[in-house]
Amino acid sequence: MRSAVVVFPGSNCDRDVEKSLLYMETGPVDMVWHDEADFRHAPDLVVLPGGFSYGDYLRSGALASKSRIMGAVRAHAASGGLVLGICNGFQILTEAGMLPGALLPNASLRFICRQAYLRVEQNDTPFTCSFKDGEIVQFPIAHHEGLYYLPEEELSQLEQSGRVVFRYADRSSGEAGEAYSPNGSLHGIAGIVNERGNVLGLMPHPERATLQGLIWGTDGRGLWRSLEEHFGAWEGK
Amino acid sequence: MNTFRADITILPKDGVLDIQGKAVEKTLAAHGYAAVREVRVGKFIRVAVDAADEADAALKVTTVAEDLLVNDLVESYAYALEKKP
Repeated sequence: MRSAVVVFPGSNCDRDVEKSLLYMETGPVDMVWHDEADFRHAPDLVVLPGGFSYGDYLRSGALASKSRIMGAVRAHAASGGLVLGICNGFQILTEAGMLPGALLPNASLRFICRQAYLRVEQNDTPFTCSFKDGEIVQFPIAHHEGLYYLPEEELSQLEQSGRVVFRYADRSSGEAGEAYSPNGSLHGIAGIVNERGNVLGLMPHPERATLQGLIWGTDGRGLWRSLEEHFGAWEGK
Repeated sequence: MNTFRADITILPKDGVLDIQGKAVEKTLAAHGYAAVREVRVGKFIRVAVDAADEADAALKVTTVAEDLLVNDLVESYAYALEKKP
């Protein structure tokens, strides 16, 4: 699997994603500046990392969604390629119209940085196929605009079509939903896919739960492992 | 070509939770200003627009508003145009 990590001015999780992918030995990782017109090597996976692109000016992700590279990201997704947006990357994908909804300021109006528990709601996606259905995983969150919002009718369509992939949950009971949203997300939504299932956006950070010795555990590995399984092990590995 | 000044006001749409507005409203009420209600906190953007006439300026403002300045899923906007001397 060849990965491309897009670097926007203000991205701060780009290196973490690169390190995670290299640690998991998923294959070559290209760091791609946002002002490039295209990818130098055709990627299998494009990652829009977390951070504060353009200082979160105007709206989180709004300015980055107009970056030059986004044309190539759209083309990649349109041809069925995988796109993963983490945190600010998720915000960029909604602003780009590649995923529905918007990420509003947290209900507490505070920046939240802590561990979060998520229930895997769909394990039939390329991003989650190595997780058990309904498995509870621990990924950290760190955001100020993470309240997932979508008008009611579209929200019920999103739910009915099974496109909610991660939902905030209670670790011990395994229950998931709005009551467990640290940020007020509707229906406890932490991550969703597009209709085709090849674009995933999530607020929590799997790359901060990948390397050994970090305080957040290693559940994030499941996501990279899923992608590897989806593509089959990289030939050059 | 003329130059216009456009003042664009952006507010959270009715029905979209405006947490900042709520927090401000609560604080106002707690300070004895309960008669000042329905607080909505938004953005104000001022731009200069080069355009042939007012209709052209209006078209240019609505185009950039809908393309970038406003997220129409959660925000509504209004604008006022004034021809610059």
